[in-house]
Amino acid sequence: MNLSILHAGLLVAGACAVALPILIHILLRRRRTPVQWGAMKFVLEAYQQQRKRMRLEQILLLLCRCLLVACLGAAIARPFWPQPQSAAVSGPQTLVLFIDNAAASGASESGGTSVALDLHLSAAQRLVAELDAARGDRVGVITLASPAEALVWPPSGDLGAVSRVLAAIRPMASGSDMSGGFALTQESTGEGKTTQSAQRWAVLSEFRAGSLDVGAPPALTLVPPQVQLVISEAAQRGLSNVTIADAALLEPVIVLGAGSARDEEMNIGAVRVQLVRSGPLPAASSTVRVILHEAGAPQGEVASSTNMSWPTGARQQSVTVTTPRGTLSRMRQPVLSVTIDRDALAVDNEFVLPIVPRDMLTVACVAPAVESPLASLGTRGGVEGFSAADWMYLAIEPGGIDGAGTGIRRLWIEPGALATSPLSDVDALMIAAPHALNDAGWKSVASFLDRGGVVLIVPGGSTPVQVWSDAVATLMGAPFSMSREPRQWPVPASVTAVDPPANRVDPLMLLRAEMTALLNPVTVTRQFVIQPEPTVQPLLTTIETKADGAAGLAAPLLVSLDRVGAARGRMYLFAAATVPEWTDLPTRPLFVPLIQELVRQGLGSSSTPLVQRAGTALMAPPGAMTLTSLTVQGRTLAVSPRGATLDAVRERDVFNVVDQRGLGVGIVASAVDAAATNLDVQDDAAVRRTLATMTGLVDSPQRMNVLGERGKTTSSVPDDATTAQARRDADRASANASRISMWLFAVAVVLGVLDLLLGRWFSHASVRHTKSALDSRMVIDRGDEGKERTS
Amino acid sequence: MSDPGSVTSSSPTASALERPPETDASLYLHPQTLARLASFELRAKMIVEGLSSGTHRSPFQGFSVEFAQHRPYVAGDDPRHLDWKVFGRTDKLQLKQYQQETNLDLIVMVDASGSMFYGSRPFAEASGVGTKASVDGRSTWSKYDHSTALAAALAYITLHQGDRVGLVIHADEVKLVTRRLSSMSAWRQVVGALSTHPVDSTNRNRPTDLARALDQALAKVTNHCIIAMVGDFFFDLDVLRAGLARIRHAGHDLIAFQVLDRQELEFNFTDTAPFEGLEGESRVRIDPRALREGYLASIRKHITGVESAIKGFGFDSMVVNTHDWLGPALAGFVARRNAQLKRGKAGRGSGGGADGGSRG
Repeated sequence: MNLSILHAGLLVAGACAVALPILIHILLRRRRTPVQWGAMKFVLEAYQQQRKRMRLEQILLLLCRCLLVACLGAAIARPFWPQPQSAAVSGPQTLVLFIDNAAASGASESGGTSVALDLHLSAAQRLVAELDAARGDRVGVITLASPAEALVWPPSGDLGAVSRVLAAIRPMASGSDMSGGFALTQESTGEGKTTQSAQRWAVLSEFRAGSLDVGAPPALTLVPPQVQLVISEAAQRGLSNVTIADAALLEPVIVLGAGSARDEEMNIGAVRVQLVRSGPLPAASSTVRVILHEAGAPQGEVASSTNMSWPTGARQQSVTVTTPRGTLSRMRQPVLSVTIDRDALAVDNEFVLPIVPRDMLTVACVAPAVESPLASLGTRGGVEGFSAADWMYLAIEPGGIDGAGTGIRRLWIEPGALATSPLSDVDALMIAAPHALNDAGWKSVASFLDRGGVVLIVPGGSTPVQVWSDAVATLMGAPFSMSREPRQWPVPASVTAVDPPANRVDPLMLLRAEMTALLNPVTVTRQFVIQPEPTVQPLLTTIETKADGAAGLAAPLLVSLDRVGAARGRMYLFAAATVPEWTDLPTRPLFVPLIQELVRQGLGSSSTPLVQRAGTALMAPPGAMTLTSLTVQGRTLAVSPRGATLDAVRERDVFNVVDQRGLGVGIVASAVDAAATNLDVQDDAAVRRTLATMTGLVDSPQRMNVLGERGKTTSSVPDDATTAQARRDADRASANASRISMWLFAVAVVLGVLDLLLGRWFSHASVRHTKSALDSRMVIDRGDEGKERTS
Repeated sequence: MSDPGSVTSSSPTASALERPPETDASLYLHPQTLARLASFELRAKMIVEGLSSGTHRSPFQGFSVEFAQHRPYVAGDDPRHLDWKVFGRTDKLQLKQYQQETNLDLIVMVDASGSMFYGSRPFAEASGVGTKASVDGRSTWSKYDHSTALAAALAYITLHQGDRVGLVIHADEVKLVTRRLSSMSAWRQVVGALSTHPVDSTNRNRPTDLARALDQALAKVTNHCIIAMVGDFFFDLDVLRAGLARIRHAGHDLIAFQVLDRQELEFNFTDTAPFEGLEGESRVRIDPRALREGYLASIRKHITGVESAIKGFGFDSMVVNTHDWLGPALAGFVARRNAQLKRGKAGRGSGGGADGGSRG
């Protein structure tokens, strides 16, 4: 450990000033003229007797004065111990390695074989090699792939075992969880001795945008005061990388149907692939390939592919790729593998999308049969007397033949029987008479939603006043308010579509292209007014048409309702009864595809997501007990009663969902976290600021230093004026915090006082000058004289 | 002994031609001092032998005024000294013997070695007439100047009572000897010799060689004298004791005046400075305050040793500070000495001593 000097020039000046006392001494010697002395004999006698003592006194005085000047010079120079080294002065050290093995750590230079994580691990191995197990040094290892995981904690003194643990660390597919990593150390703060000894935390990461978001407010984890934070250098060069952020079938629900059609090769539609790009953003092209194959089995030939181009500066693109045809009924666990060209990051170049075909789609209409001519009379009675339930029921299967070839089966459930009806085989509920449901019926709806069902609620046209919106609010678990009485529009109001937010599933996605034309003839005469709430997402909105043709008030006509705290189930609500007295929508071309899409897209998004982001616990389908990896032998994840895996999944994988009977009931895939694959470089100062904020070291920048390429801690980051200034500030802060100068000043004061005392003592200034060599003798003489006189 | 009245010098460089004119005696001795000393008589502590009758007892019993003793007549004795009264009472021939009174020869031996030229007292303050510098340009009153004054005073006392005074100036050897005279011109001669001699630079860096100086001085003295030895006595005590023994053996009386400067007695220097000896000692840089205790102890021991040695031989001594006025100190010393002599004579008289009739 080296002592650093804040003002080295002053130290040199102080060192030169040490010569001042010597110079003064020499100058004074030369100036004196010799004293011609008669009684030299006695001076020499005294000099011979006291020469050694005088020499010692002079040396002590000179030493004292030189030290005084040296101490003053050193104190003004402001010496201080660099903080990182100060923690490692002596005694056992504790090294805590925070290794970023998130998705971005798998980045490699173009054509390179080693990834960033390899450099981090090498640096970690060097740091471990510097420790001494005999001295009691210990090492803790925490990987930062989200969620952060403590591989070696509490810190261990078995350095060899730690090295082996380090060698086994691999890049993951999740993001970086630095705050979680720091928080892990605090979980055992009060337990181990590690908090009492000097600790050195080494954060080894390239701090690319995918690993640390310098723009987001970081979670605060106060670092203990004895900890010195050492961070690796941030990446200086961006790497071009394209990530498959998402892939989804345009028609998420695939129904195999029955009969001979089931075994035929079928088209499962197109898959929409969303790509994001990071690093340098030149004009480029990418090839997206889609392969349909059995999960866990080797991939076959590329079934289809599409080339796309990237304009300069473009960060994201979406491309729709036609999926290959296949006989899904003959595949046990079909998946679609979407791949792109190899780039800096390999983990995000493939996206596995499980395919879950359904044999039959069952939709139940909940309404009193006596009020529904279609239910009681069929289509023979004409459409004039159709209730809202009839129109909904008809829209599900306009052909009127249940399950024949289409794979859709319709049910009619009386509202009073809903509580006792087995809904296990039902995929969607269309509640066309919500006013007729009792509490038990609503509870049954809630259970149905929890299993991942889709509920479509349509007000009954025969009831001018509704009170069931309270039950809807209960289902949502969030505030929901709808007018008790319907509003009558003076002039039939037009309807317009509302674009959903980007982060939400759009159930009307396939209709968007023709939505304007389909909505053009639709008018609304009467409807309930739904108050806007954060959990209420409008899909269609009624716009009042005034007499002069101008637009007036607006009110949601069709909304998607979010259930708070629920992962499954999907609810849609019409504000108007689907009868001509309220709206002419049932008679318009939009109605059938609208209801179909709401059911199918709702089913696609209401059930457990088939592809989930790495870094969290996976949600499993209802009834799942374990998830068994289809790519890694022996990897099994237990599922908690709440439906999520006990352990988080950090890698990209495909799991077979196994129920308590040991039977496979589905398939779930974990995909790379697209946000974690951002390989943009970040400003080093911003990284330091973020880490300082994250660790509570904003006011103690001297406790954060940079680890150089060779694993040596340096207090400087070259070629960055801001960082250099920050370093100077850190040095100044270290010097301010250091008490060395204060102690040196104190020593100088003590030396000054000592010099005064020694100078006065050695100068014999206290000797009385009036004393003479004859004083004592004269007393004797007077005594003798007195004796003579008396005698 | 050579002609006691001549002025001789052993130094070839100290020729009369090179000497400056004689200095006025008042330069060294204040008239008030002389007036005060005139009332005192310098008496020989011991019986000295003089060439002419005077106030001092003589060891030679002759036919003078003061009766000493009877002795039987033997053939050849002068019949004028027969005590006829005794013959008439006892019918025995007895000769009367008397204590012969003689005059006093004072030989003043002044040390002119290098160390004697040290002085710290301003010359103007010490000089009798307020002169600011000596004839050789010194602004300080040296020990030699004070010795000159002391010698002049002693000579004045001696001449004033009709005795003879001679002067010996010595350093490593005898430099100058003056003829003993009882006329007042001798005083001017003494003062003139002393005042002109210090300008002779040949005495610098010459330590005192007492044995040699005594050899040379005593070789010219055949009668018993009082030797007034004036100097700083900065020589070994063994040498001093040998010289004292020599003087004692020759039958001389001795009065030692140890002339020291006040700075030598107090050593009140404050600043560190190089000190250089006047008798060729090497230069040494010292802190005087640091050495003061040791120095004072050393010189105190030496002064005490000198006095003890002198008193051991029955002689008198006195330490003279150059910063003190000479008159009171010398008057007090002479008074004490005379008082001692009177007490001694009274003691011998009451005991039937032979010199009981000498004048006090």
